[in-house]
Amino acid sequence: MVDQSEQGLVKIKKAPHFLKNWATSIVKSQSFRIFIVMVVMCVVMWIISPPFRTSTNILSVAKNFSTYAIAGIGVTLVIITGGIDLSIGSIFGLTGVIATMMFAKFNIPAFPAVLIGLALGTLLGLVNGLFVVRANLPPFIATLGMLSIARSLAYIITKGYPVVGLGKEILFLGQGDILKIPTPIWLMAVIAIIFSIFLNKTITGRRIYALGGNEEATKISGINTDRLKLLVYSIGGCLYAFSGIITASKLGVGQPTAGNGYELDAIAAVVIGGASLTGGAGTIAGTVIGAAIMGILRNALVLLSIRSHWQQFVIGWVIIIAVILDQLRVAKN
Amino acid sequence: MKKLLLVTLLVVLVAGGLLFAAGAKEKERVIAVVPQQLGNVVFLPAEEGMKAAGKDFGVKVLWEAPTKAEAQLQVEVMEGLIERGVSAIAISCNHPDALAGVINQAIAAGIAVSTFDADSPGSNRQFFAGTNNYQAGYICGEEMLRLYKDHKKDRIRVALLEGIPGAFDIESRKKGFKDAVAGSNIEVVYEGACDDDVDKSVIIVEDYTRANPNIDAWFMAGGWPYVVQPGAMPEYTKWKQSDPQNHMVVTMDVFPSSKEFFDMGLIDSAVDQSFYDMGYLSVKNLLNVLDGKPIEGLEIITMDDEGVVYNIPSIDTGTRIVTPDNYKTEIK
Amino acid sequence: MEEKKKTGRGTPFLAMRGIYKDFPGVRALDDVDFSVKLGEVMALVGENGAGKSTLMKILTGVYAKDAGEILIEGQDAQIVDAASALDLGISMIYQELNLIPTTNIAENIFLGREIKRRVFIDKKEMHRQAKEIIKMVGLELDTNLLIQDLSAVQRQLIEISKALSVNARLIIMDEPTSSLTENETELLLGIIKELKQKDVAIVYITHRMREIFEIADRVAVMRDGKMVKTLDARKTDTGEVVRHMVGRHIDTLFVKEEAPITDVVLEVEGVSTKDFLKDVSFKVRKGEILGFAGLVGAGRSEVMRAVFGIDKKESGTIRMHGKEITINNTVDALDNHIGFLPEDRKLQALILNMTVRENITLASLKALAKYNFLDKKRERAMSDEYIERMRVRTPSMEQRIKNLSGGNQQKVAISKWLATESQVLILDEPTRGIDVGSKKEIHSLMSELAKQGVAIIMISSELPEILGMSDRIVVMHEGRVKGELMRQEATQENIMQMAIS
Repeated sequence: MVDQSEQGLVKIKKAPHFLKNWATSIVKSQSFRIFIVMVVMCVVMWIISPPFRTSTNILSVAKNFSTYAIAGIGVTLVIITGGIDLSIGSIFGLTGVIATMMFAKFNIPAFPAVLIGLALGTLLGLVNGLFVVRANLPPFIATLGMLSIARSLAYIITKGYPVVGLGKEILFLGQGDILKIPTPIWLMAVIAIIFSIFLNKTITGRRIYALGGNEEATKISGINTDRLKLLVYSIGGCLYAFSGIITASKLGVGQPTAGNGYELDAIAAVVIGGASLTGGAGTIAGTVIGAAIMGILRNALVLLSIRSHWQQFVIGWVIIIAVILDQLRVAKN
Repeated sequence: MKKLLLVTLLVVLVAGGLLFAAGAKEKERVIAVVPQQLGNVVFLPAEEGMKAAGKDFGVKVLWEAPTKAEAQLQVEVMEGLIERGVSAIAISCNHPDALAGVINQAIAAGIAVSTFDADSPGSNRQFFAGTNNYQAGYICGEEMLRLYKDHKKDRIRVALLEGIPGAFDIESRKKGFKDAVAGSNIEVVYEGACDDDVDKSVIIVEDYTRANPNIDAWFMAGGWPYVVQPGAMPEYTKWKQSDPQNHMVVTMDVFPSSKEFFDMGLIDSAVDQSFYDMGYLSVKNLLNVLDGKPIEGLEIITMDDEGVVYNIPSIDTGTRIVTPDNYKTEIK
Repeated sequence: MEEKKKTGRGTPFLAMRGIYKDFPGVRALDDVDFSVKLGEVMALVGENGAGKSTLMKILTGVYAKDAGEILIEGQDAQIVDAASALDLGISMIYQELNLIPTTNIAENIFLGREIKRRVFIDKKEMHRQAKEIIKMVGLELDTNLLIQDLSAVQRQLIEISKALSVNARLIIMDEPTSSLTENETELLLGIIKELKQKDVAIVYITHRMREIFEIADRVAVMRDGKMVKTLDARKTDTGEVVRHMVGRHIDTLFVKEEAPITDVVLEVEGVSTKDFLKDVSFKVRKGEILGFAGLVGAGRSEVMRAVFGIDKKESGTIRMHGKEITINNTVDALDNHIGFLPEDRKLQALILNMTVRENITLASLKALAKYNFLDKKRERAMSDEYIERMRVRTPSMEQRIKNLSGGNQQKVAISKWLATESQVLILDEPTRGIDVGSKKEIHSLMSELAKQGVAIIMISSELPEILGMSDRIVVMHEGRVKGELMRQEATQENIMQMAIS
């Protein structure tokens, strides 16, 4: 029978071990690796470019990559299950114009208008999921179809015209700030925290990782993998919509062409963040850092007056190097 | 069994739709207008002009374009129109050479073809309606010179915003601008490309302006940033309003949303091409061609494109220069 | 010309002497002698794992022998790769045929050695020759037909004709009739008889006694890597062959301990699937271990997959504790307290990139959660419990499972199901590919579970394991239940007899 004081001592003795384990696990993780990369980038820019150092620039960079991060978080879940989503940009665009139209043309108050946009995004994501689960389409094909469908709906509904007349209620999302920090950054932080907890602490999160690790084994272990897939595609749709609505608010205009090609940027953020496209691995933190790295890169190219041709060149190489480094790490283990 | 029925139904519907679309050749006269891309705000006045002309002259009109501003996609749209047997087409070419072939194909099929906004001089099109992009850029350069006429600085540094690097029309505008300011104290020191994306254009202008608050002027070779609200560009606003006499902005394109920018004194000169006229006059004159009537307002303009001389039958739709003095009446 | 007539009384065409082959941890071939004469059909039989395919793979150049010699027509032969085997006249017809479905007959026959005229492929000549070649096996077909449009026996024959066209003197056929109908089998056997006339030597690997006694001249029986006996087909019978196949000395086997066997927990009746399982019925009781024996492909795993809800069944009822239940998917099975450990643990039972802890708890997540949030403390407790109980050798529960040995991986996989507190536990080849020590531990665990009242169904291809651990044995054969034996009356021979015939 161990008495209380001894138990207490045992606990205290364990604490340094516990802290050490916790610290080691963070350091070993993939997210830490690219976090270091991001810090190095910031330090370099800090040194060579004075304009980088201003708080306005840093906040602006963060504000701009927030929307990429939110969309990236959405597709992170999909990628962890071993799927892919090419319809990100189209859902982003369509829900952006729908939400702004609700507000500007139909005079629906800001909050419900945004909710309608989010609901639409979730629905489109669910449709993607149904294509994959019920019609057995490979995710690449299913979401490629949605890419065209959603984009053409955006053109049809707006007849090509941008949606203007956005009042300050809805502009708050993209252009406002809380405690001097732009709203999109807060929104990104909240979403990142929520989904990080979701993935790490709930059993659904565990099942999502398991599904990506080995679908057959997960199914045989009595887990409804179809439902999980529907869930991740729906969540994805909701988050792409959120990203699109924030962007429309940030610019003050809803455009049917918004988000063209966004999927490439979002997926790049996830891949740089350490997720594996075959499934089973990936973190929210990684995606956010991946988005940050790409945002800092874009900012660097402008601040250093480098021609935009190089931007694509550099981003392409960053992705390839990130994946190679990740494969080396996996092989070493 | 249910799946089989559903699939069969889908196949029948799609096939039926396709057959219907394919077989349905136009019975009455249809004039198609093909801009470079759907959803690009710049062309919307052309659509309005087209519709107005259709109404005024009692002819069916059709607005068709690819979803992306790519030459190959536009060629496919043209081929579709040839299949449908439209009577006439007015096209703004994504690339002058890439579209020449299909233009001539349409002409061979008995369709009257003209170009607007972006010409294909090597093709056999009836006429070109619009302002030459090079000319438009040149006018921007002249505006920049005008704005800095009385300034005594040694060097006026200009930042330039473009779209997709290498895009033919923007390159022409850039060349026109640079030729106009050649030999003066005005110099382009930065070129940022936004890939035709409004969001990216805002980021580039904001980031560059924030980092280089001492830049003298901005030349927007395309009006992307002015689609948004001024509230989305605080750095730019701060820069312009901090020294309104010395910090100048010249831009191509005028949109309804440009009004707010003018209200805040954020644009000094906007060179607009009259897309409305391009749409309207293209339809009107294509109809003239079909009816055997003469083309109105036609001029032959000689153009020297690196040694090759073209005689271009043009209808000049003109440019208008919108400034803080006249914008209230000019922008509806 | 005259050389061709070797009537089978001289030196054998093929003589393999003293062949040894080891793989990590197991001796696959132990001093094997094997010879075949031209114009003879030599049947090669043995249980799964006896060494038949290993021996043939050495002969066709896929594996290298560790020791021994191979003589072709009395001359020492070096078979270093597939090409050298072909050059020596040795051809093999595999179970998964080497034909490309979307190409035509002529293209397949000449794959890799297309007839060329200068740079271009001479299609006309290819088709002409192909037509002649397939005539050798009695086929009169348009050589433009695609492989995928042909029947199974036609494909089989084309494979054979392809071998003949490259002057095969010895053709090895591995279970050639397994996907053929009765008539097609007759056709094939007829062609083989003709080949005999043409002085082709044939090695015929099969489990089907009837076919052996119809065309074979001799029967070579292998067991546990050794060549046990070579019999004259005309002078032996099924009983003797089976006896040699299984007659092993049963030594230190773990025998299931006594456990009280009470009520029927699971009753399966009339399960059939499309194209394969036919009317399978069985029951299993609390405390009982029901062994499922049969050859590979007999349908045992298929039955369990249907019962567990992984595959669809066309008909059949399932009853738990007397009440009928519906199982349409694995979630249903789990809700009904049935557990299933598939035979391929890497592909179907474990998530290799996850830790021991995550794998153990994978099927029990709902029980460890409150409002969807995982109770990590209880999770760790569950992990600890099973690591200890199953004696899983791992540095910690956070070790990635792909770094564990096969035996320990299997223990983790079993732990996953034990943690769900199933009432019926189906184990498909639970000790396959595992070291002896771990095998014993798993068997002892199974005994203990039975004592606690769990009903266990154990699929195994190892007869000693079946005999040692089962209270009752169900034998399956080609999708049907062939028979049932009580432990007392079962022997290796009578199980194998039912499995084969």
